[in-house]
Amino acid sequence: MKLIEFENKNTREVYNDYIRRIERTTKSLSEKDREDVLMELNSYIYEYVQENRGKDEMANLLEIIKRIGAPEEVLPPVIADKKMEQATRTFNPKHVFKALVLNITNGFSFVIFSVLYLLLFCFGFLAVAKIFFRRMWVSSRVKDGFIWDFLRTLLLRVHRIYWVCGLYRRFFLSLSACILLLLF
Amino acid sequence: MNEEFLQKWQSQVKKGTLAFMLLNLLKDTEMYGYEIIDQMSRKVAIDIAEGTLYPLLNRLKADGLVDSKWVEQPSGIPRKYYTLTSAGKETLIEMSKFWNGLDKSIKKISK
Repeated sequence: MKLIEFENKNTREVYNDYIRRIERTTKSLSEKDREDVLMELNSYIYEYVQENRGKDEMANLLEIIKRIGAPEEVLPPVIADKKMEQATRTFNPKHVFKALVLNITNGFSFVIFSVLYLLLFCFGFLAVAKIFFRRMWVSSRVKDGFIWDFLRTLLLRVHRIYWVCGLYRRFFLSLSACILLLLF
Repeated sequence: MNEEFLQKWQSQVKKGTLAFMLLNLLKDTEMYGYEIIDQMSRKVAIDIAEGTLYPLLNRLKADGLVDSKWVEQPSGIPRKYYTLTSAGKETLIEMSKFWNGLDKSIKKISK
């Protein structure tokens, strides 16, 4: 992205600081989306400064920064939208989790989907854990030590929650719902 | 007259109809951010800040109502032009129908 050239050193510093704040706020986005946000906000600054040529450079910059607002306050809904788009495009669990966290306040469907997605991962974890820790699963005297005890207790508790709630049987229902919601 | 109430109501109406106005503005032509702000100010006397317009345009884009493209400029700082998609045009027709219906209803009860 081409930066705007300001004559005054102080104006340059204020401008660079604002660009850095945008970069910091958008660091969870992909490189392409981040560049898109930066370029668009930079374009707003440039157009405003050009339209008000002849006036004080610093006053112009401060005015447009005020009009755009603090990146930390203006950008979260934009980031949430872009992150969701990235998640549905890539299906990468990391992006899906991030998108869900950012969008959890945007409606009931996001809350439901977050729970279902979490259940899906717990099921995957239990399925793998049961295979690899078979001996530990059935016997309490396999190995001593805090970590093994903790892991075994954790596995058994999650397993019990799944069993009591009948979640194993409902797994395919959850999976179908997840896929449907993702497609939707 | 309750000035405070009136101002709040006007602000709510403007906020609620901003997307409708924006889609109407992009109905026949493509525009970039600053141009939209300028046209809004000239045509509907609404001073919309860049910090309000930017998230709104992004939302409309995420909803598939507008599309955008970067156009290089001699300055080296490109402009992002927005246009209405076919879904945006269809939505605008429905919004206009609703708006006209609402207008008629208000006129009926305010006679």
